[in-house]
Amino acid sequence: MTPSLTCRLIRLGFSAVVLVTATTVFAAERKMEARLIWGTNEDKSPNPDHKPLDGELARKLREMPLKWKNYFEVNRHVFTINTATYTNIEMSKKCRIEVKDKGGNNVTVKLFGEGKQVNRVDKPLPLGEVLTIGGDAKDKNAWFITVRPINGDTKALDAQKNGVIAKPAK
Amino acid sequence: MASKKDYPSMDDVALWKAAQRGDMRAFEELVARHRDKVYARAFSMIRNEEDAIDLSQEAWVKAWQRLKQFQGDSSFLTWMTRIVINLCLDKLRKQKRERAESIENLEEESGGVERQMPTVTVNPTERLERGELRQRIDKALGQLSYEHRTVLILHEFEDLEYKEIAKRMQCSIGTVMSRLFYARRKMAALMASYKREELK
Amino acid sequence: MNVDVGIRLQAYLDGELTGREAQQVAALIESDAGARALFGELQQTRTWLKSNEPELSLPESREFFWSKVEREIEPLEKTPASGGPSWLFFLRRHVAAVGGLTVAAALVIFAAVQMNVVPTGGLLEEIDNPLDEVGTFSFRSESQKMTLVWISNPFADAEESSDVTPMPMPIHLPEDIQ
Repeated sequence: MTPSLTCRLIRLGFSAVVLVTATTVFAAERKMEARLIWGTNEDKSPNPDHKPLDGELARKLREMPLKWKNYFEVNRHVFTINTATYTNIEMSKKCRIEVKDKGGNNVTVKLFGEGKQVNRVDKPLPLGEVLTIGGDAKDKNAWFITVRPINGDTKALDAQKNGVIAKPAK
Repeated sequence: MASKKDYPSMDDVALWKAAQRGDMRAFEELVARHRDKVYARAFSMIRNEEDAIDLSQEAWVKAWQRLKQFQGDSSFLTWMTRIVINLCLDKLRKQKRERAESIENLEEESGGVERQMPTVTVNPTERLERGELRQRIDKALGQLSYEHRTVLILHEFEDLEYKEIAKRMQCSIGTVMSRLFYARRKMAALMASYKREELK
Repeated sequence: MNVDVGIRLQAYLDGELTGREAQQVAALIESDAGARALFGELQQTRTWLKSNEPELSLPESREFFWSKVEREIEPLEKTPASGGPSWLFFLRRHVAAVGGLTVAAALVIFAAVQMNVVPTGGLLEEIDNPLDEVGTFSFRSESQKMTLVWISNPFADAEESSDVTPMPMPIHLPEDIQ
């Protein structure tokens, strides 16, 4: 084998490694949104800072046969997920979710309460679909965490403004 | 020329054996004899008159198609009832897939309501005439979710064991047990509340 | 009274426990007034249910109902003409091929789904609850394209109960979400 051919092969191999690595690391990071929502039949949320939920998500929840009439957005997080690691989102003082891209349109969402994993959901979540995890809260109210993919918008990735802690989970 | 048979006086075994040989008059007699019970089972599960009639009809047609496979291991009525139960279960599963369930039903499923029910110590059926008691039971059954009602019907009225119910409802034995527990407690609570309303 | 205890009482009532388990429950009924009361309620409920199944009459006349059944049965009784109909030959020739293609297509779709190539909406999902005490119930609204996973917390009112440990639920009190 001639030196020039060897060099070419080495360069080719190196390029292939770089390409594969780049593809793996940067492959199709999906943009997602998670919201913490308070469901109640009271006219107001206990916290005056919570704004009434509006838009498409509010409409979907109202169309569902749920017994709560009013929904309030506690917080909203926009983040990206990838196939390599879980993205951690602190939804409240006591709970967080971890979300991972499983390839195709599939995602895994894990719910943690007080440090313990409460639930894990694996499901397809293409654009337009919403995964909602919910449960009872006191006084016959309910909490909901909605997770859905959104269209790419770098301006929306305003982690500081929303107080998001979106970092790869351990 | 076929000899005239006195179908109403023939027992079920003679009738279904004749029907197996193609005697449709014998089958008609079986239909007449057991149509109410088959319909009652369908209605108790489906809680819709029109659907229950359709499912009963479908059950009788299926029975005719499968008659040659019936060996008499159980009574004809038991066999017929199982056919209509399976049709009802299929329909209920299809309905469940097609519609979202209300959160009230979810609360039932989670047992959230069950834990709040105090033990019923007084017999809520005391001094009730049989007809009235059956009406109240039917009313209470209508207030259960389809999962709880189904497991109750399969256990109490069809005498199926937990394992068999789990197989038919395609769920775990644990789920059968918790649903049956909830259903029984809810029935007791409902019957007690009807009695209290009556006394007021 | 703990739900699990109640379910064991029920299983004892229904004869679904093994010998040793049954003995344990019998001893509990003997020694615990609460268990005895609950067992009594379950026993009573079972008794009046079993002997009072609601009776209903099919709301159609005998003749009318039978005519509907007969109409559906009669075509099943018709036998094919001797020598076999030409449609049977057509079926054998064409449907077998179509059937084979359908099976092949189904296999391709199944493989694609397994490889997460085909979006399946909300049809394929897995839900896992690592905590025994927490149950879930899920349902999907096709029209809203929303899947709801409802987490049941049997100990949501743990403050009021003295014999259970509060489960780690994400939100329990309004102050959690402030």
